[in-house]
Amino acid sequence: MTQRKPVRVMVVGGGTAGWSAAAALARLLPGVAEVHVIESADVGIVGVGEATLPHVRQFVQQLGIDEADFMRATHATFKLGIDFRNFGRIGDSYIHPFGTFGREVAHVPFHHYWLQCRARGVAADIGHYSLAVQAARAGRFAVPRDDDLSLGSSYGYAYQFDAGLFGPYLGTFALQHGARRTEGTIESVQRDPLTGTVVSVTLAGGAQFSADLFIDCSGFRSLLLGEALDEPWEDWSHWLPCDRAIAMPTASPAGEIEPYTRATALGAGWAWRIPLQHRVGNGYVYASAFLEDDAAVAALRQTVQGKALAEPRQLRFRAGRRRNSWVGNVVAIGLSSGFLEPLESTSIYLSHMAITRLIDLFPIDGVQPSGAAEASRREFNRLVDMEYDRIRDFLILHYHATTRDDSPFWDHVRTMTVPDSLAEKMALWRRTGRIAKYGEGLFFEPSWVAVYLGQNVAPERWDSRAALPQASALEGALARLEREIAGLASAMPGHRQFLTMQAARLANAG
Amino acid sequence: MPGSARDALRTIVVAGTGPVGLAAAIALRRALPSSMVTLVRTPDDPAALADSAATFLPQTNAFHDRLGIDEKGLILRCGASHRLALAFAGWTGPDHTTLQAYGAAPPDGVDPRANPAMAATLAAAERFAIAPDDPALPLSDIDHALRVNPEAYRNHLAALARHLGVVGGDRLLRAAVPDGKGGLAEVVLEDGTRIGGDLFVDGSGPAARLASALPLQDREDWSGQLPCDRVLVARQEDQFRLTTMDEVAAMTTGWRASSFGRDGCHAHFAFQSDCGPDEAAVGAAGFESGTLVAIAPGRRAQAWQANVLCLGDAAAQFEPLHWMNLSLAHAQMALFLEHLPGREDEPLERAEYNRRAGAMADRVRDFIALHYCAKHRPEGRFWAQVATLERSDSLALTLAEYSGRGRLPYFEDDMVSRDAWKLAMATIGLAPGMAPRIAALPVASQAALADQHKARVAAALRQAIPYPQWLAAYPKAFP
Repeated sequence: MTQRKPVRVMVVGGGTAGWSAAAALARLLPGVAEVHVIESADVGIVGVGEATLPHVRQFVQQLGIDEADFMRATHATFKLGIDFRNFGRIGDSYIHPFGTFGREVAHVPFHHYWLQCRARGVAADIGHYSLAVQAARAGRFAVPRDDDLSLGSSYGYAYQFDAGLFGPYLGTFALQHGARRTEGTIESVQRDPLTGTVVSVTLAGGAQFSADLFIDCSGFRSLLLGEALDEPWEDWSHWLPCDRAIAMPTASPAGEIEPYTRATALGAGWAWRIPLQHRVGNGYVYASAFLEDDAAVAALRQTVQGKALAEPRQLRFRAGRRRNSWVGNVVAIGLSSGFLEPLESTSIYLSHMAITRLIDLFPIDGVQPSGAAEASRREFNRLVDMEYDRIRDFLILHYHATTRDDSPFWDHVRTMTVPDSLAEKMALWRRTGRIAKYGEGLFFEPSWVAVYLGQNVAPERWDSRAALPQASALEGALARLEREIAGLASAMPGHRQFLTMQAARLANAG
Repeated sequence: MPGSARDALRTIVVAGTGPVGLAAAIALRRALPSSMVTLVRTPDDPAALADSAATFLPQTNAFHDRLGIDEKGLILRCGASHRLALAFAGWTGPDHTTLQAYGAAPPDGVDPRANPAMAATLAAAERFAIAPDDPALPLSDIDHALRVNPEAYRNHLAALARHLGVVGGDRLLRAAVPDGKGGLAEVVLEDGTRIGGDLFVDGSGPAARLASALPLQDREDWSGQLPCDRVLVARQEDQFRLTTMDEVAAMTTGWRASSFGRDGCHAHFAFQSDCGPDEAAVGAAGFESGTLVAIAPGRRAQAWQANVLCLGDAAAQFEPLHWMNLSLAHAQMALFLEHLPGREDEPLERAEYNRRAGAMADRVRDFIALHYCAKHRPEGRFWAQVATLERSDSLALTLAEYSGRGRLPYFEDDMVSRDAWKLAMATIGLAPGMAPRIAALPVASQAALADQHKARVAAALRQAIPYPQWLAAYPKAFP
């Protein structure tokens, strides 16, 4: 076996994306990648992604990180889904769960039978047939069972954590696994005049560092991909007009910790509420074209409960992505590559997805301007594009599927022209109750069903086979399922109790 | 909430009484027990390769379950036997044989060329077992395909269809009558009977006797990617072997596949008409008799057109390497059931089916085309011709990623498993590239991966028994 020369990787930026990339590369590609992180103390961490998706568990697990330890360090809580309030119309509330609704019968998805019973007036809200939803509503949590056939395995979970602590936690991990860290502010970027390849960066004070592959995790600034390489930006703000956020943590209220994130639609956007162990993260994502900053702050203050723990902080962004995330020897990961508002907690997912792809496609023999590395780039960009496009459509659905006409913002998103790819999916659902399926990426059938039904987009017709069972038999089966799920949910410990037990186990083990 | 379930299809006409039409009739009747499903006979066409299949793929087992056809019935009544692997002889050069097995391929980091899959090892030892469900047990890595006596299988399906209340099947189709809206209104039988339908299934083979009455539509031509346009279908009852291995042998003029059923050998010889006179090719391949058919590799752009669904050779025609023709029809049938329409036309639903069914067929095309991508090919005009074939973008990407870094990119609606892709790569002698995660392992750990695989295979081999013994014990073991 020939000895390969390690590829020198420079990670620019030490936020969640940067340290996630450094940790994963150092842990999973030792000897293949030599990781050097340039972190600037004066660049703040955006940290909007306090709520995550179940994929984050795989990411953490593959690094060999202990869940309980990691949760303690980041004050994490469990998350079973997102409670969307006031989206379809004011007063509505539905949970988009990390889990399924009911069971498929005779290869026909559950929601067709549910629609059938609903039309007869004998079905409860669809959330009653999802264990994740019922456990969330009851403020309870238990780890899913791994038996595929039982309802106890019909859900997944994610975490809500302090993103300001997640980066440093992974930072410590990355350094333990051989990553190197330099603190400093990058002042200039040197490129090869012939190939355009990035060669090195120079820090304030004059220190110069070179590398073979540069991972741009510099956040919205997109220092390498955006500034140095000037990769064009594809703007999606006409579909996703929110471009600012006001964030403000508050003290935890007494009582149960909600094992879910809340997203509450407001006049010009929506507000998040993410309960952690020690505080609650709050924020208002809004469109500046429809709302003044001061009014946004006032609206957020009115929305939050509990004592404010800090002054409101403003973030600015725009929806869209760079045409290519990997150009030459620069790979942008995280906000430097694109931005989609955290309505479905996809920010950290998008970073981790890109990191996993980069590892799978890592140019182990070095980054040349063409050849094998070109295949890596093309494949990476294809996969990243697909993820962005699918998430984009799913997010647009949340705004577009509404009857709200109480503000210019909602008038705009309700009446705007959506991408054809979404318009076709919605038309198929309306006419037939079917979800356009795909096997790779995020948000499968139950997710689309949850949002459609939760936002009152009901199909006009559904599968004819749902009318086959006798009405009384179907009604009975639905009632049994509802009881079974209610029983399983009520048998779970309370969320706070589960966290306490977990902490006790960790203390005993340590 | 307003709305209602769609009106269920009431009358369904299925043209073709071979395995494709029969399976469609059974599946539809099971899905819609209140519908009237009528079979209409069409002339038997030896070019309908999906219908003449004497063997299936492992995927067929699950589809059979769904139809209510159990393996026991097939073994006891249709002469079924089991295949664990397919031997490709001479494919990458003379005296060189590789086994393409079913079930799990060796894990990442283990070159399947040097470390055969478990099922290949069992097949080479002529041993057999049914895979247990528990993934911890080594034998769970194997899978099998069945061979049957085609006539008995067809009778078996016909009996099941009748039992379920499917009617007809005795009278021949005379004509299909368009409805003036792009679909069909009714079919006319040989005795003048007219049968109308909400849905028509065309399982009549390449002639597509129903769909051919519809407005002409585009066809995706695969002849630039799949070389064979002639297939000789032969049965050699004297060549009897009880084995878990079938073979495909590269000949100078094409390839010859032999499937050893309990009723003798079912052989296919596939070749290209451009390479010389048909008789010469057949003669060179050593066949004395058989039925020669011409095929036009390709598929309908839209297999579901208005109220007519094409399945089997009516939808896609291609050389029977791996005998995938019927399995593709089954997979598309299952996809259709997922999109089962009501009585009213829903173009979006049809478009969704056609998109996915098309992707599925294209991936089958890619899988077969992969077998022609070996670096070292046999001698002969046919193989010289093969060297000039084009590659679809999806196949080119698959090849590049596998040889570059041992990775198989994901494709939606690929009915071929990742394991099967990997093992086919080994068949053509293609080495997996070094995956970054494997490259990062210490050399000792890399070597250990192969040792672990070998140990698991050896453990499984000890638990399997000689196939003839297994089969002889079957009626007693599974009463």
